[in-house]
Amino acid sequence: MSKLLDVREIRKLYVLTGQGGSGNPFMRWVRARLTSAVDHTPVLHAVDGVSFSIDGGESLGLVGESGCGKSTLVGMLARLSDPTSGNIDFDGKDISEVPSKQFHDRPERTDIQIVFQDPHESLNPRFTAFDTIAEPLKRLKGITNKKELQEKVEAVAKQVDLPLQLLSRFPHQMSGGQKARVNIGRAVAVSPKLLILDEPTSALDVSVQAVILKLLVQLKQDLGMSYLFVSHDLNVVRLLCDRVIVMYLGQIVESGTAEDIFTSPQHPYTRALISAIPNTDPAGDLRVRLSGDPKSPIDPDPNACRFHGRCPMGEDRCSRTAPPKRIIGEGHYAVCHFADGSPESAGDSNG
Amino acid sequence: MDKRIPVLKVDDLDVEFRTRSGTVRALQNVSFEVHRGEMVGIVGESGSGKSVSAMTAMGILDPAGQVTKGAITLGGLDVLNASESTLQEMRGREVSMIFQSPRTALNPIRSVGKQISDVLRRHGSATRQNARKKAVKALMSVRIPDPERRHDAYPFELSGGMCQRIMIAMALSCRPELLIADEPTTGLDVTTQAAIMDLIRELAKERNMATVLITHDLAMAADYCDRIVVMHAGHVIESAPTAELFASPCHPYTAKLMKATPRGEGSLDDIESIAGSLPDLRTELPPCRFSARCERFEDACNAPHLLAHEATPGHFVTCRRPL
Repeated sequence: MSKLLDVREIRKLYVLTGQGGSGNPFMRWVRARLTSAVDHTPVLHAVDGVSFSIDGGESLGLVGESGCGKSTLVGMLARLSDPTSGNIDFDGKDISEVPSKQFHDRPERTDIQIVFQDPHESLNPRFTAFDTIAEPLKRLKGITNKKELQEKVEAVAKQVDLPLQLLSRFPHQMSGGQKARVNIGRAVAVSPKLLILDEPTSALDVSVQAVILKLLVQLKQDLGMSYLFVSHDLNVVRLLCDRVIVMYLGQIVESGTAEDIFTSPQHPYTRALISAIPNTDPAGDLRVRLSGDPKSPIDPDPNACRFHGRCPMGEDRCSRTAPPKRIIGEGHYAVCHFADGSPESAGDSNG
Repeated sequence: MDKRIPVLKVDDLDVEFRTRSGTVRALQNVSFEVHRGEMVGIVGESGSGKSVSAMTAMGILDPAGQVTKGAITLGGLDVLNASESTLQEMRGREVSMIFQSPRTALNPIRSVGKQISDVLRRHGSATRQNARKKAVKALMSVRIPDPERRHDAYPFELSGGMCQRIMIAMALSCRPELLIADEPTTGLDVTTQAAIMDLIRELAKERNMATVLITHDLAMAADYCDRIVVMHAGHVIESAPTAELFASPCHPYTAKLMKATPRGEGSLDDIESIAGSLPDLRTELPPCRFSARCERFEDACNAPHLLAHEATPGHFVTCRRPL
């Protein structure tokens, strides 16, 4: 299958100004004159050299804890923010060069859509369901004819199983599940090729979660979309995704098929994530538990594993050499000193 | 039934909220007990009355809410008829609560150590001189690294998981008999969630404390609780020891809830959603509030006086046509 999205070595760094006036050239000059301290501006590495690809019709899961850069990455892929460096190839074209402010004019804008987290918060409270779904059709597809718009919106509503009488309602008049449908409807109205789902079910009750997940699977089949599915809920990721990437502090630590990740996780962080899933049949105490908080993403040590310090397996070399990428099997790699697999051969960068 | 005296006993409780658009019958005939050293999970969808039950038990119900029937006994105290000063004495000392989103529950402009000292001093367990030492000790008990330094930190300087540990330290500082944890891990990462839940379980065991875990996550309740109380639309519809409940759920709603929860194995076809939504509690409702969503419904279901009955010892179900 051809690659729909190919992300190479994407980075997002934030230069931290405002700390002791380090961003102000005058203050820097003053400090340089008065002290012998090395001029150093701290840099936050939100996303640090991430590469992956999504095939047409594939669902890729993205997991990791809050603060690991998931949302920053999603923002860059949806072209809502600009990467510091790296390339995003979408459908064969590099879209990372277009500034995010101008991206709305590009034809790719309709092709990449995003379903934001928490339908209660992400819908405009002054827009009815109809307005919300009609907005991208007006703005991106240029449909102005009222009748045509009405037909289009109703077709979308049918697609997402939203009863037509709800179209005139405002968000506060709808239930969580209905709002989730509107939110999904808004994103799929322009028939995107890639749909980014940022925790689409985390704000929903389990009773409606299942219908929404099934709806997503159905839509994917009907519209032939690819999904990038960001979620905390690993059980949901397992149900929905073909492949999974695991992020930790701005980097991918493991990537593989959903089956591989869940049945034979190689990176200790992935293991901890999986054993943290609450289980209806308690399996005993073979669980990996993490202690402490992640390291700071500000100026991370390039010659150390970022997981070192929290890692239950960590040893001396982890703090001295950055872990290598090890290929474990077909399409499965982990970035860890301890993963058993062959070291990555030169030139093969896509794992 | 258990012969021991429960720490918390909620008996046949009815709570109503008077609102401009009508009276919301938030709780009806709610009964459950929590014993020493036991963790009880209250599980249900949002709006099922989990938090209202807990808040009524603490005596912190919103003024719009009224208890119209029933009794709550907490460590021998009749909560509903106690004076406000008695309740204030009780809260923190006898019973404590951990809320969801710890960052909003903490005072943003007071150092976390001071906030713990406040609780200790309010209940006379510390004086001005030894408050700091005791607060640091409380921080240590919830396994916060470097407690001496964290004592002076403000909530914004700490991660969500760390803030929740502070909340736990604060709640447990006066060694209460009962801890109510209301969705303590919502908004936390799975790894942090596991660590926080492990901590709560460990501390509860260590102190032989009674714990109520309010959650919408059936899997989490299964993992940590000894007994589970399932609520739906203000009714307790089933309560049983965890293993028993999962082995043979009696109420159709419980069974559906289990089917709707994604599991590790299996495919999407194995999970089913629950048709319909919670009924509007402002309207006149049939005795079984699940009847409109239930597949097993028949006319006899809505005969009046639907009460809980014991299916097997310790396993209560409120259903006329149990599974």
